[in-house]
Amino acid sequence: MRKEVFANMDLSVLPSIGLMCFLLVFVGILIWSYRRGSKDLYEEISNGILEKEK
Amino acid sequence: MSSSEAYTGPLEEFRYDDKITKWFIWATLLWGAVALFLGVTIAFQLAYWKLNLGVEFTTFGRLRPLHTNSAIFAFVGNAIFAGVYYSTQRLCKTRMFNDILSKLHFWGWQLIIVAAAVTLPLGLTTGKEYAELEWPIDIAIAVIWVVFAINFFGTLVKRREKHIYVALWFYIATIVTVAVLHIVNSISLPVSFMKSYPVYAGVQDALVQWWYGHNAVAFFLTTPFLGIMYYFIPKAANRPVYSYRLSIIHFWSLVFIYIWAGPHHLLYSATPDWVQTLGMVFSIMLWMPSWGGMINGLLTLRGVWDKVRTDPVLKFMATGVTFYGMATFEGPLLSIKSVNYLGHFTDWIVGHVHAGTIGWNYMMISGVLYYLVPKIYKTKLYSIKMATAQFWTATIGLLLYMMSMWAAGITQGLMWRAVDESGRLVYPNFIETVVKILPMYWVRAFGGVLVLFGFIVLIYNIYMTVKNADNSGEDEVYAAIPLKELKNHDEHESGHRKLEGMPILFSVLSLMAILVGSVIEIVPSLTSDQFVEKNPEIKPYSALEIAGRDIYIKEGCYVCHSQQVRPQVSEKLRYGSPSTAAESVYDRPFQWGSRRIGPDLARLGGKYNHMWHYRHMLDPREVTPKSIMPNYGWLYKKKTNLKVINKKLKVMAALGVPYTDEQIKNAYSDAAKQATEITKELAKDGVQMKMQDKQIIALIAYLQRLGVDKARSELKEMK
Ligand code: HEC
Repeated sequence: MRKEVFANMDLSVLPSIGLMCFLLVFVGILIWSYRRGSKDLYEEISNGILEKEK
Repeated sequence: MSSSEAYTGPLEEFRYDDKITKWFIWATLLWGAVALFLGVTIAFQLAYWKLNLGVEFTTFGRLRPLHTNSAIFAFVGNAIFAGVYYSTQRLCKTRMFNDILSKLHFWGWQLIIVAAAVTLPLGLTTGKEYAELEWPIDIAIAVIWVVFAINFFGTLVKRREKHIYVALWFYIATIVTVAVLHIVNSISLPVSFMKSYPVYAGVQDALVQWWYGHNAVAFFLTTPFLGIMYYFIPKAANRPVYSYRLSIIHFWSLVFIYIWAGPHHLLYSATPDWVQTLGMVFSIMLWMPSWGGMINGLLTLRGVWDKVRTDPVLKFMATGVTFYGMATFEGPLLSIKSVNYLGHFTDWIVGHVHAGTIGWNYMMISGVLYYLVPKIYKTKLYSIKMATAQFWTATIGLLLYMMSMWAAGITQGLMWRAVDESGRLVYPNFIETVVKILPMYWVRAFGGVLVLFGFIVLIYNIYMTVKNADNSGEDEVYAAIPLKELKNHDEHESGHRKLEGMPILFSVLSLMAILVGSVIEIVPSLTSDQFVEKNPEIKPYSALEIAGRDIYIKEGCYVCHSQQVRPQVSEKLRYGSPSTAAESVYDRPFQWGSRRIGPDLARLGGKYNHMWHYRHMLDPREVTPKSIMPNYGWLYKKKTNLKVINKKLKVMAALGVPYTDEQIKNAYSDAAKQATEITKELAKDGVQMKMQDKQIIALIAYLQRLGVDKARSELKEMK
């Protein structure tokens, strides 16, 4: 069954599907990375590693 | 502002395990010297063939896999572990999850390296590039990797720091993806203790192998070092990373895109066009996140550029990141099909990978070592001058390397494809194109010597640093707020913070990111018949040819010879008709190769008579003056191993090769019969009949079979 599906599919659509997947992930991450409060959070995290170890 | 400032309760006291970091550092130094020495050795072998020494264990075909494996997994591998063990503990404010696992990881990994160092010169190899180790060692690698993973994730879980800093994301992606790549690419059926055949054949094997091969670059040589960059550069510069937001976008884009790039190793090959398009497009896109990372690393140094001049740590890291930028520009460029047609199979690619491994990995490792050793031995670096001297020798050595390889690669690539007005090859003799670039091989080898020399200076510098340190003290005690308390503090916080605090969810998301590309690219080829058009003329190898093929694999002929003719005019003129997918359906493993130090062999069968091969393998210069191919004298003394030939055919049959029961049962006698026939042919020119059980006969049988079925089917079509 799976074999038949692949055999009858035009596989040249896969690059376009791949690009769409990436676009979605990229836009998703971009939006997510600008969510409210993120700026302070990023500052906290990136400065955090420079804290003197106690 | 850190949330920890609000907390006033009791702190937990703990010690970091820096002993394990020290061990990995010493292993890095040892294997680094070995890997670089091997590199220099094989570089000289190409410039001066006599350095193959006429001994089977030291020929180029066996030492090159040892060089690549030791550089990647021993040198870079141990350095990764040193960096990861040190920074993970600090970023999690806790000791490693379990000391016994740490030790097991260390000793297990060293044992695997020793096993590689023994088996590869012996010719025990799978013949798949960067995955040459045979199945028992593969299993050991998987087990030790799981040990590492448990130890790492255990540490994440017991951390005393709420956030998972971006360096740890890169470590997580590394651990998850390397496990997937290694296991999927190594699946094979054993014939004996040190011999196996992969479950994939031909085009499938090529796709899986380069999906693995390219992502070994991505997830072993790149992502762990990006993690290291995001930790060590801010620490050494004492400045936060330029943009944390950029690091997030960098991470997800890189991880998502990288996994698709493998087929750029297979452009113009017999793989389907859509796979090649995918590989090319995603490789070019990869430029974006790679440079995002480079810019983020370099801009972290804004305002402290003066320190780059004086501080060896920053000097090496800034240079490492710069070379990373160069290599990740060159990679996408080489993935453009037309550029690839020129560069593929030439030294340009060799130069490219060394811009990565020396420019990025060696430089970053040097920076990490100069940072770590004084820190964990609580002392100062013995000599900054020496570090600067190493910096310049290594940089100049690398530049010589890259420039000589550009020159050699582009020269040879152009010569291969030069066709005159009358439509004939300008350089029909392959050896002409080799002799032309030999001077560049000397320059490259000299560049390599400088890089090695620099590393020896580093070893001495580190040794003196440690020697002068006060090594009596106990590990320091640190104190931090328990994670439990941090959690209570943040109950009200929104969902995304919890997400960042959840290593498991995070690993699953990374896994999904790499699986999308893997599934879309690989799965159709594993299930679809559409891929490989059947050609009834293509028949399985005979028993003797299988034995000969295994000798071909054992001697590492594939590191100098391709078996893949590309569909271009100059290739057709030089070698014959382009390779098709149907031709390699019985090739386990595929032997398409990646570098043509010698000519392509896909159409070799019938080109010469048996005697030509007999004389050529004994001393290539006898038939091709100025050849740089090694002598293979031992093939004329050692007997072909036919003891397991039945078993070999049986395993092949189990994997789907249509051998009849008859063929399997008679494998031994069939092989002996074919060997006698070949030797009889040779006897006309004075070869003694007692040679019939020697390896050279089996090898000739295999070489004479290459491309023969294809030629026959073309003849039939014409009729
Ligand atoms: C160091 C790289 C190197 C290795 C390893 C190597 N070769 Fe070669 N080979 C060459 C070069 C260079 C030539 C071209 C000059 C010549 O004919 O010797 C060549 C030529 C050949 C040819 C002649 C091809 C033709 O069409 O004229 C054959 C056959 C061959 N090699 C077989 C082998 C086999 C089998 C092995 C493994 C046992 C092997 N080679 C290993 C470099 C190598």
